[in-house]
Amino acid sequence: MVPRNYPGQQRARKQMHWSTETIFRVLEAHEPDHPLLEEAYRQATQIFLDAEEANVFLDRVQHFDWQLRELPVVSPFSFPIYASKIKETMMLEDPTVAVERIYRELYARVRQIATANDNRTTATVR
Amino acid sequence: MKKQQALAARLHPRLRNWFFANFPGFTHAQELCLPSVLKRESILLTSPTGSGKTLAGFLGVFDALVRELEAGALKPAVRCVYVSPLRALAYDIEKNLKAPIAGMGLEEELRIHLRTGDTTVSERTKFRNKPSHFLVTTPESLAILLAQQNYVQHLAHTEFVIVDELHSFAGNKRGADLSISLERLQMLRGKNNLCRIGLSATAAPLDLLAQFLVGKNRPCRTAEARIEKEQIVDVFSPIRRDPYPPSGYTGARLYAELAQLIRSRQSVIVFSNVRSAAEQIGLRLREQLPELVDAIEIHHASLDRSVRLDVEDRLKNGELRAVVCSTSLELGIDVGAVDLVVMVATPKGVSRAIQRIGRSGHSLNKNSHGILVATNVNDLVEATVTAKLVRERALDPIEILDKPFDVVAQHIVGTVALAPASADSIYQLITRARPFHDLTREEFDRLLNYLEGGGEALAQQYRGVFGKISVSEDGMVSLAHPRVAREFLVNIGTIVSEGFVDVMLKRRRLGSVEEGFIKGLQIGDLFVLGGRVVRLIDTGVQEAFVERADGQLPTIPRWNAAKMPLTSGVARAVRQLRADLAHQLRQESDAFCVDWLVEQYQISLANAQAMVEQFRAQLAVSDVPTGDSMLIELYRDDDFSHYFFHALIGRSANDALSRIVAWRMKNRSGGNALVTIDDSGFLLTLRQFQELTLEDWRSAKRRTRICAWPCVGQSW
Repeated sequence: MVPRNYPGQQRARKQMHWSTETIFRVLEAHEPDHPLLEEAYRQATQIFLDAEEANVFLDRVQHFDWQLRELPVVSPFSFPIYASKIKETMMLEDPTVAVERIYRELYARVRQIATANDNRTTATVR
Repeated sequence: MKKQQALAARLHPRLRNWFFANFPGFTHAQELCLPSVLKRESILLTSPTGSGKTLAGFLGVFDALVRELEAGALKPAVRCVYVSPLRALAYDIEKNLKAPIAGMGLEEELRIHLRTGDTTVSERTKFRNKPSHFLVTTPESLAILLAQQNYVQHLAHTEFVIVDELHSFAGNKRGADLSISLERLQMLRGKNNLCRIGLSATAAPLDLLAQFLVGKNRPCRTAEARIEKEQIVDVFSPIRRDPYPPSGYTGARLYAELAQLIRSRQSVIVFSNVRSAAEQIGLRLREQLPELVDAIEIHHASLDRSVRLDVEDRLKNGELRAVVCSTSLELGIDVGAVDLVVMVATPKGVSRAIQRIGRSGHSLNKNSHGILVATNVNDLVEATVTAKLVRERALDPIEILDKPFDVVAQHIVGTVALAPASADSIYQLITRARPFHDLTREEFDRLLNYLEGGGEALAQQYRGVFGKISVSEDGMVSLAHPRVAREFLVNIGTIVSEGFVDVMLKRRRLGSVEEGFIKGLQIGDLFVLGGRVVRLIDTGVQEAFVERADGQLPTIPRWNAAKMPLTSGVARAVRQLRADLAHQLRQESDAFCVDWLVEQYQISLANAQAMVEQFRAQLAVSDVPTGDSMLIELYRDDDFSHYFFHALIGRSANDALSRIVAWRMKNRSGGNALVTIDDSGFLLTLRQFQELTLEDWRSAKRRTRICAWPCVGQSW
């Protein structure tokens, strides 16, 4: 709702950003129910964040069985998100190479643990 | 056959003769749509692509116009408005409008005006002086026309509106904006009926989409054309013993197999979801298939329009063996002889998958064929359930965006730009559109107040400067100043542009990339655009100058392309598969579970084995997170504690959730957390002194409702 163009000229993005931020701060302090603010929050919760689904989950999760497990490795199901984190933060190494390397290392650990578990189970059965 | 003949008999002979000289008979879509349009009833027609849908909409309109022409009653005014989400309309018009008009020998009598942001001034003037009977346009251009008296007078006789790809408008602001524009067209008609024809890909629920088309409390027929060809969907099965090896997480090994697929087919579209991946895959495929280098192209929205159109043309003409795109070929032009659709990243939703698969097998009597490729075993579960849901045609329900205020504000100004109007009448008009049916009068009045001068906080000093409208004592709304109308016309629309920089190769514009991407580069850096490696040699204000650097190793652009969130239907199905398979694994042997998967999900043995192995490994080190447990995994490395929260609710919901939890965490133990999100959960990376216990985490989520947005907004 903040105009970008005037006939014959376009405003720079930076300038727009600055004006938008000022308006946001002024309104938040003085008129928290202003339509501009309400629309901004609506967009944040409906379009960019799925607040509805998150709320449903928050309601349900109270009745769930909660577990916090300390693991010696990143679990197979957790690896994809761990890989995204590596990609976003890796600076010195090519992220693709890094992901491949870490996946290999973790996978070997997971195999080790799985085999150890198997042996233990077999031992008890005997 | 009788039905066909009876329907044909209702067409004007001139139209009938042209039609049967060119087609063997009506398609099912045409059979359903035509009777409604002949009776001037609004109709929502859904059908898979390639079933003569657009012509189905136009046939009844032609009949009306030919009859008027014969009776000498055809007014020199717009009679039919055709709205499409795409600017690249030229091809559709050629096929669906110009061909029939020329075929009936009516080029002189029936005129077409194509109006988009690219229409030249002389074309506009021509239309203003001598209106055409068909107006072919986009929602943005329609809104601009509706705010100018010289054009509005031409639109007052519009009897038919055709909205193509209606499903693509339902959930966004463009659609909300269009829904009010349609009401304004109706208002111009006065008491006369506006016949609205919505053409949509297969969608659900139909009633809601119909309401979106016609507005509150108006009748609308809904019709579903049957699938004229079968859709075949498979999950790709790598031909090797260890299909998802630990050395192949990122899927680089897949290129050879993809290349093989391309070799074996006539023409393939590869969907990759994001632009950077499309570039990456395109480049690798060209390396794998040196003999087909010129027959493999890239297509995405950052490429220059002329480049894209060229690719589309060559694809349509059967000159290309493969096109790798982000999502850009989901809608629009008939893509011709494509016989296979490959989805390298999962499409994240069932409707999207069906739409993509429907892009293949366009030529007569050919089935559509889609293959879902999982790059690693984690993706395999999602691909597997998506394929199953596609077979069951379990469409993702469409959602309609709820009353965006900026669209209301635009239409208030747009309406009074023509002539002063009463606040009551504007409110009534806007709330007839489905997205705004629950806009309260109080909300509307606050918007009026804002438009008058910026609201209470800003009103006093700024009314003169910022006021767009003024409201008189008796509730009449008018423009505050004539200049407002001019400013309005250049700011109309709801698409927020990201700030792009043109990439120039000598004098030729190759395409564009995000400002932020170029800022992060240094002169001499190599990146890929349009499947070619280029070197940055200079930057200008709005341009980046490059030279070709074929055969060199690039730094692939990492575009900040918004990732699509998983739909709730697919998320639910993944939760189900996880729970079922975990349950089976606790009781049965691996061999039994593999058979069970193959039977339940129709996947290959190799895929089923890979999945079972993955679940076994997960159970060995942790637990399988399902829909009724909250699993948090903690893994410590040298410096950090990583908390993995498993919540399979889609990335946008996890985005919301992770912000709350991180904010609470910050309040409790101080310091910032690094948050990473995806569709199946989120990761908080903390310093070790920030660690929390299970009870802490539980309470971080307890009694939290996401309504206290201001505090979240401030903390981030």
